[in-house]
Amino acid sequence: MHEVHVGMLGARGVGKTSLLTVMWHCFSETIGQVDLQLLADLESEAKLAARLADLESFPEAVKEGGVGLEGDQVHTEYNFELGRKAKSASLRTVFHDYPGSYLLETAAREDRQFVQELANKCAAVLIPVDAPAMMELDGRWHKKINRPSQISGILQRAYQDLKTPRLVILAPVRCEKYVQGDKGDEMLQTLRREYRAMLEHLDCPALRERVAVVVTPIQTVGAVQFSRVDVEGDTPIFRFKKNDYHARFKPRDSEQILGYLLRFLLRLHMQHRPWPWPLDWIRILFDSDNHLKDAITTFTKRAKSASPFAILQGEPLLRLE
Amino acid sequence: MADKVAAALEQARSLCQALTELASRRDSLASIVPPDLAALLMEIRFQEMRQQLEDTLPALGKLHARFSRPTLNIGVVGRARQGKSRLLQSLSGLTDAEIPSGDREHCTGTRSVLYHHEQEATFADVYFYTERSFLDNVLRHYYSRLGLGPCPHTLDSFAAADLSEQNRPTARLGAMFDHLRRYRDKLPDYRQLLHTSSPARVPREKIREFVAQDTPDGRRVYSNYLAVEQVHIFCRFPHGDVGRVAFIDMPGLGDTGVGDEERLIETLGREVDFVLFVRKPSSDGDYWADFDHDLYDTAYNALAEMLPLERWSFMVLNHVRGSSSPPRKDNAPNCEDLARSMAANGRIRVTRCGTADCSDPAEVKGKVLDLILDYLVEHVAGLDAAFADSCQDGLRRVQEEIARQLQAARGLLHSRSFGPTNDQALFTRKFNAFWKELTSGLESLLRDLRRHRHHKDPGLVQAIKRAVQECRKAIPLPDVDTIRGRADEVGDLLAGYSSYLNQFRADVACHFLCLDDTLSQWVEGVKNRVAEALKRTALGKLSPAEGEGFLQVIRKLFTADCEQLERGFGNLCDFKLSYRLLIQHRIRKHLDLLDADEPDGKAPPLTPPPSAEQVRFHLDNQFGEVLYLIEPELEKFVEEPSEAAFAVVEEFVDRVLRAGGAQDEWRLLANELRSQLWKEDFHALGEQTRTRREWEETVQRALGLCRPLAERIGS
Repeated sequence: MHEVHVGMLGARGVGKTSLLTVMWHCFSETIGQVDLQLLADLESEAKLAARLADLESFPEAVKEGGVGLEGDQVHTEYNFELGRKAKSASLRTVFHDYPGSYLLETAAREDRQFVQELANKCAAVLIPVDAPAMMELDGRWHKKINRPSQISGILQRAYQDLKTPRLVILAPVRCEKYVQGDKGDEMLQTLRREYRAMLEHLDCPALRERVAVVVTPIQTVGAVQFSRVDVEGDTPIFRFKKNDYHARFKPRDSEQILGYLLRFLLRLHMQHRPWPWPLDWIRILFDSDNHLKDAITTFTKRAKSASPFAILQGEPLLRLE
Repeated sequence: MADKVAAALEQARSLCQALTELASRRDSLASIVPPDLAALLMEIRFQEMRQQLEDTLPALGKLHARFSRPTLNIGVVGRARQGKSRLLQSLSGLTDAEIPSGDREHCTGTRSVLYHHEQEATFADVYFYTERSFLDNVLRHYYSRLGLGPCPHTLDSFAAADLSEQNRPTARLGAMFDHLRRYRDKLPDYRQLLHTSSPARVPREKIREFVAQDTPDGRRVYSNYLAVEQVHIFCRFPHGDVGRVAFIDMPGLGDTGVGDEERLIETLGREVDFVLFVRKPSSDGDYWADFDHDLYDTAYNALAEMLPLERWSFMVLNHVRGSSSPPRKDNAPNCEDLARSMAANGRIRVTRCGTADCSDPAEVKGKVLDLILDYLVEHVAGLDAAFADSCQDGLRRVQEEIARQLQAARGLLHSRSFGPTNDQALFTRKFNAFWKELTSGLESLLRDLRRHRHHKDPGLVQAIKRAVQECRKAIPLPDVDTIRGRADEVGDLLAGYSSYLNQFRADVACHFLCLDDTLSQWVEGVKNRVAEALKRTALGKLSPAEGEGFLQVIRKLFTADCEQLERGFGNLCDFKLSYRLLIQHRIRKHLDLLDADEPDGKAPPLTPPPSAEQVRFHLDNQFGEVLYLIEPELEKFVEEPSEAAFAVVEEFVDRVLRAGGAQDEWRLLANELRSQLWKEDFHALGEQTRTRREWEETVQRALGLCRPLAERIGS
């Protein structure tokens, strides 16, 4: 089976695992008539189900002052098999999740190296961005929590002498407050400003044609929204509230991640050229199964691109016409 | 009107006092200045000014008393046995049982005021002399008139006084001597009344005991009246439409001998607004005798300061009808004769002269009272106003004259030096050094403020954090039971939720008012720094005050010539930062989170089913979020005070150092104050300056009192 690897580039507590969980959860909720299915392997499914239970109970936990979920302590690969419904899977998507502590200054050298190598080899990187940390108090806690400079450095190193196109997905999470009404633009502007160094680097001549950068805000819980920050000592505690006291877990837009990833892969195929590793399998995959290709095409057309969703660069790498 | 007169009176009295002070200061000055200046000072006629002013006071005083009284007082004046008491009885409805008609014996000076009241019962308020006023006002007069030597100082010494026959004066004063003896002999009877508090209320049947010496039939002799200064009798007048009028019985006026005529005249001038003369022409033929003219003149002079008697008096000729038993001739022809001759000779001038039987109430009403009332209704306001204005004009003329003389007096010392000569060169050196210090100190302060103009003052930041923290503590979150209780109280959970939101909103808004004090202290700190910079120069010798107090002291020293300095110090002293101006609007907009009402309210609505837990959850979140939003909002403003401080001090420095003419103004001021700024160098000059300043200030104060009242009293 062909494999595409996606690296999660996010610091501790940003919500990497939760993001994957809702992506998996939402796929089946939103796929409808499209002839596609996404199955986690047994091990991944068990872990995701446990995390999903935690996420589902979060809106209730908020009533009692709950503030967030604990992160994983070890590197985990989440394997998702994608194929037509009731058929053998055609593509394995491997999401590499690792403890956020690997990025901390206290992390072991090999842990940090592990993250760097992940970025080097993955066709796509998913960067969860803690939206309240970026948006609140003029971004007072953004650098500490989202570590934009560190992420930028990792990508700069990873994309030296790049041979194959890459996809970078910036996914603001816990962003319920910032996508209400017309506030989405403000969040997009803030994100552009806070990641300016990274975005400017990716927009250099050597990378401009090879790296697509998209923004897909994900409402990971849906029923809650940011309320305030309490500071205990030097630690910010982000508190959430529910405007509808009885509202339940209802994540939104997390399928967009998969949509952009597949759209990226499909576009590479449409260029009718052989790609070196790690994308050498693309022609084989799509040429051999037109039904799958059609189903993926239908699914990827649902990709949102209106603010605060945005394709920041490399639009040709995502164009389907 | 009474208030206006009181104001004029107060002003005139203060001016009198100021003139006395000026005269005394002038006398001191004259002894230390050169002779030519002393001569000029002595030419100022303070005594004369004061006298002119004092001459206006009695009229104003009487005017004030008149406008302060609730009634218009008609004084009934006539010699004994002219029908005066009969007339009073006809007017008031009282009888011999209460007031003596004087048929039997000479009445002896108890002054009565008769008031109308609506109740049926008649009573009187009796005012007794005190021991002191009895000695001073009653006995002293007798001793003086009778030439008996020093008046006794105590009642005991009066009781033992030698009033034997060998002390009896001439026959003319015999009645008076006898009366004084009666005072002494009856002292044991009335003495305790001199220690009775006044007024003492007595019922109708007892009134006569305090106003007469005998019962109507002469059976019993009283002595209480000897201790009585005056009596106010309240009774129901037969003609109720005269409620605002009171009648004053003036017994003894015009009768020689027994009473204290001077005091009666004084009373007349002080308490009487209209005079009703009573004269009973003899049926055997009569004429206007000297005693009639004297009585009129006495009343005229008593009232002259206030009322022109010819416009404020009536004459009643008492008509006695003829009868066979007892045999009595009708005096109607004599009344006509006297009326004619009064008009003809012009010595006695009254508004009107009429004839009436004083013992006939109906005739008194128709021919006397109604005429008086009609006249008063028509003329009293105009006469009052005209008189008040004439009083005020008199005062104004005096004030203007005094002001003119004071203006001249003020400048007398100004251009003259009466001490040692000035040392201009020394002053120039001193001033230049002062100017250097002043500019260097203020510019250095300004540089520092400029450096920190974007500085977030740590004190303000702390105060804001503290206010936010205390707000969290000060407004407790109610528990669910309390919320349920409130819901029951106001109707349901929805109303309870709304009421808590309103309460939280009001409490939060109110809580941050405490930042006003913080801002005031901060502003005070800025002013302190400016004051310190100024105090490091010679200005520091002018006052030990600190901060704004010092700035105000300096500000008061500026004369009209120091326009730039006045403006600079004025702006700095007036500089304030307020919670309302800087902070309130920043907080207010976030309070919408504690408002559930459309369209601005942003508090989440309760979703069904509502519960106390839901209310508590939302209150907790909304309150927490409001404070979370307010804190950074307030922190944003903490640069602003530093910027404002820089701006206001820069403006101050511009005005007092850099503006055109500022240096000249400082030079003028320093020259004026040189003896205080550089005491050791200019000591002698200091005395002179101080003396001149004190003189000018005293004159200025007096001048301030010469401003006439803006409004006409009579208008």
